[in-house]
Amino acid sequence: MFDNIISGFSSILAIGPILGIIAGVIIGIIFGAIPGISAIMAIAIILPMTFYVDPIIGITMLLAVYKAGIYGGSISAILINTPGAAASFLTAQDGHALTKAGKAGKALDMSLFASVTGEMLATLVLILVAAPISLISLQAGPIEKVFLLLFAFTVIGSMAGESLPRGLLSCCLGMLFAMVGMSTITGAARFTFGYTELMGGFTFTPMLIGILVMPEVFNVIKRRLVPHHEMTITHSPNPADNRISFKEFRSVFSTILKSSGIGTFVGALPGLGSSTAAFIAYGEAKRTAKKPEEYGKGSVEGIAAAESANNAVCGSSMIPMLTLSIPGDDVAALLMGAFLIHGLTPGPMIFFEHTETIYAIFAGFLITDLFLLVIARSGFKFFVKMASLRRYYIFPCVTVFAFTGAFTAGQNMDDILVLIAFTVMGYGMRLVGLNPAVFIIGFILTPFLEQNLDQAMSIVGTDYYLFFASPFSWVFIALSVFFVFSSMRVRRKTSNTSAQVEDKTA
Amino acid sequence: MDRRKIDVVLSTFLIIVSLIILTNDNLVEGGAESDLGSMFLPRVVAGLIILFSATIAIQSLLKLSKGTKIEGLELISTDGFSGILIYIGIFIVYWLAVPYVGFLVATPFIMIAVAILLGGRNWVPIIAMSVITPVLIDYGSKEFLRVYLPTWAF
Amino acid sequence: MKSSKKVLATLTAALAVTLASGAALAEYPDKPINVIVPWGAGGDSDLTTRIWADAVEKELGVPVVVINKTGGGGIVGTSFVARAKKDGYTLINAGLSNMLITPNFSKTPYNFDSFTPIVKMTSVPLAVVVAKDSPYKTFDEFVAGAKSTRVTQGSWGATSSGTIQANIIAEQMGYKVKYVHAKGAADSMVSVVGGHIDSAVSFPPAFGPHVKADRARALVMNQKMDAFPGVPTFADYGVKGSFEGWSGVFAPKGVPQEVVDKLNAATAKAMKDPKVLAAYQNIGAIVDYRHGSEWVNDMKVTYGIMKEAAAKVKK
Repeated sequence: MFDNIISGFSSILAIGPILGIIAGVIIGIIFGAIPGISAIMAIAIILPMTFYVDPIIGITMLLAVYKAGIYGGSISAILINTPGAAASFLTAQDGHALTKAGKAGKALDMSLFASVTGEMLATLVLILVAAPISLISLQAGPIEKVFLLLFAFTVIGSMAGESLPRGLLSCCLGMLFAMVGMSTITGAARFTFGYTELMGGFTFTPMLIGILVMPEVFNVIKRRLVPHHEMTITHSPNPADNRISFKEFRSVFSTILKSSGIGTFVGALPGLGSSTAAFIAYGEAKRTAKKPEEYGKGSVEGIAAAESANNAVCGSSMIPMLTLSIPGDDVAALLMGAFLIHGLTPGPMIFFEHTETIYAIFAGFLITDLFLLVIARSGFKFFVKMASLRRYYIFPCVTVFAFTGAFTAGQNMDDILVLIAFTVMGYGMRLVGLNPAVFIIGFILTPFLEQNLDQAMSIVGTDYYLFFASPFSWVFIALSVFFVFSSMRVRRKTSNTSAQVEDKTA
Repeated sequence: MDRRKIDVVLSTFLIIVSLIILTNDNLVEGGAESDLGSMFLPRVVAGLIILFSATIAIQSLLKLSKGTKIEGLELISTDGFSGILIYIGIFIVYWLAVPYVGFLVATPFIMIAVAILLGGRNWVPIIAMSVITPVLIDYGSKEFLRVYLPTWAF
Repeated sequence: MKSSKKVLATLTAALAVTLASGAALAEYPDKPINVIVPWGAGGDSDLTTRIWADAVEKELGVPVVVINKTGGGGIVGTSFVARAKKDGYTLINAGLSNMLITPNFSKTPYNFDSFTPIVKMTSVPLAVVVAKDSPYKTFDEFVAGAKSTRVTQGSWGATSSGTIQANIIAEQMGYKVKYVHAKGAADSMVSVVGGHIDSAVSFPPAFGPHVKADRARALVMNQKMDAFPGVPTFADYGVKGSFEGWSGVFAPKGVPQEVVDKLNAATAKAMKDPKVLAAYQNIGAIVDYRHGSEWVNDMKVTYGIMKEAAAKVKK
């Protein structure tokens, strides 16, 4: 096995693959950082270009785009509070709070180090224990996934902003909006009121930009008469505020380890994706934190938890794909298409039939992390400079990017109307204390819940006891109960100090 | 503005909507049978919405009836709302104009309008930015994304 | 004198022809062609269309752009193309489900007659698949099992092509199954291999890797394939009809014949390119290049069968 890895390194350390990785990382960071253009779009666009190169170059390049794209989402999240990817909205909460306090450098450093560490760890897991892990994930059928999703909903509910009813109401509204359109299960049209345009439901990208990004523009406009220097990105004169010291890194390292573990696990279970991983890891870190009241208001630990978990998913979603030919999320599905087009059929046989190629790809995976670290680090100064331009330069551009982002997703002018409607709604939600991020996660998870619940019902038929026959179910029920109780205790502990400012970031 | 009053109005509205979802069968059409039924999950969610909305409304009503003083988050500041309305107006004009005059023509005007709204008066850089940005985006999306933004339709 | 008049006349005529052709018949295609895929990026239909687009792009000399307009079980993208300009610059990735099945269930603003079929590129035969350690070794045993006990079968939606075709098969063989609807054929296979459901209807791109890795077994397929030797066909068991998913390209009804001819010619060349054929083989699809009236008539017959089958399960 080790000689395989070494030979993998020797075939990846050539001009072609390295250039591919560098190009992939740069493209990924840029695409990821622009709100509205996600990693999956970048991969879909680059995919045909890789048809004509060697699979080692083509696939490592696509994987580099994927990893850098997920990371890139955190840059705009931290600097201008506009998450470039759905998975980074938690980073936006803590990261942007730090930016406001003049510690943008610290936030950027933390998110980069956490991302790279999370990815590295997940990649090592992928290389070393792919096969056994994939067997466990296969044991999780629809019934088990229902409980896992219920657990995810519990986590959301328990950490949902200002007050429990308001957080849960935000989640329910997200669920309701997710059910507009044609049900994939029954083929029935729900809440469409006869409009064909609504059959497909609300397009995700414009909705995401509208709910999470545009209200920030509203906030700036609302305060447009406040002089510029009060709102610009300040640069703390103390250099220690703009980097992460080794001591700080060590103090959050256990959080990173735990969050990477959560991310790796969630990623290995097909169909949950990086947003779920980030949410669970963040909730868990907050629950066990020494200062949970800092979360959402500029906690370095919070950034570390969210970023390491969502990046760990990149590595581990390859596990079910490569070993069982089951893509873990939509990006993995697209990558699986890339493998197939290159003539590599994912499955256990791939390790025997294409040993050299697959280990070269693994080696490329690890090397990508190093390049990501170096390339992103050297771009920080530039990113910060961009973000500290005067607001009448930045926000006209944000407006246009929001417009094009919403348009390019489906190339449909109706999506712009969706963008406008959800912008107003997202701002309104902030005003009345509803949490937009929780709304989005409710929206994302509902289709999974409904699909798995329906499958579980079909499988158990009238033998309802089967719902509780698997140890998985009990583990997740126990976890949910534990989470509710312990977060209630944390809430009570911190309610005195933080109730009044808790919602500032939502 | 007093958020507690908005809470009551909004909760009442959500409860009415949820009651419609719970009782009206015409919200779903077509399709075939499945175990869960198309309206199962929507109705569960509607029930939960009634529960949470009612909680929020009752809390706010109690505070209102006791005449508790408005505190912290319950006060919604309405300063600068006119700017937001203008911005929404600009965006709607943008949406209406692009299919007819095209992305490259509409965007500079929209960018200048937003810049003026935010107090920008440095005309030369603002106009330069407003012309260059859309050209770059149009070129980039054509070459790299293979997305062809709307063009002049006459 | 005479000759100069002749020259003038010739020139005028030539000019007239040039003007006429320039104004009315700008050579198709002279700008990018959009192909709408009503499904997500990375799926079978998407990959099939991307391979096609890439190949005909080289023949036509203009960009052939694949756009994913997803949602509503394919209705969103398909209606968009049905309403698009009939100039041949907006095409749709057509398949069994969005063209022949969905219009029978939902109030779609289009039906099969709203389009002009251009080409069919590939097809994938439907199969009934069980896990490796399943008690059902043959389709006969499966049928007997489904008649006597409760057997679950993975599919992807009560109105999906998988369920409708599986219903037709089950009715002819006289058995009943309990459908378990996953997100797609690939997700269904996960449940089969994990032992959560008893069987699934599936297509080679979804079950192929599992069968090759000896985790699953195909009991019966629509047609013989070299990749899966020894698997009998539905016809062997006396099931009438053809059960397959396919992928093709349609244009909105009323496009100029020139468009249809040009695209056909380009596809014909592309379908001889060994690289294209290899790409299709790699994604597990059978190249089934068809066009013309015989093909359209076959589809009309299938449309009738699907309409009848849909009426039986419709609410």
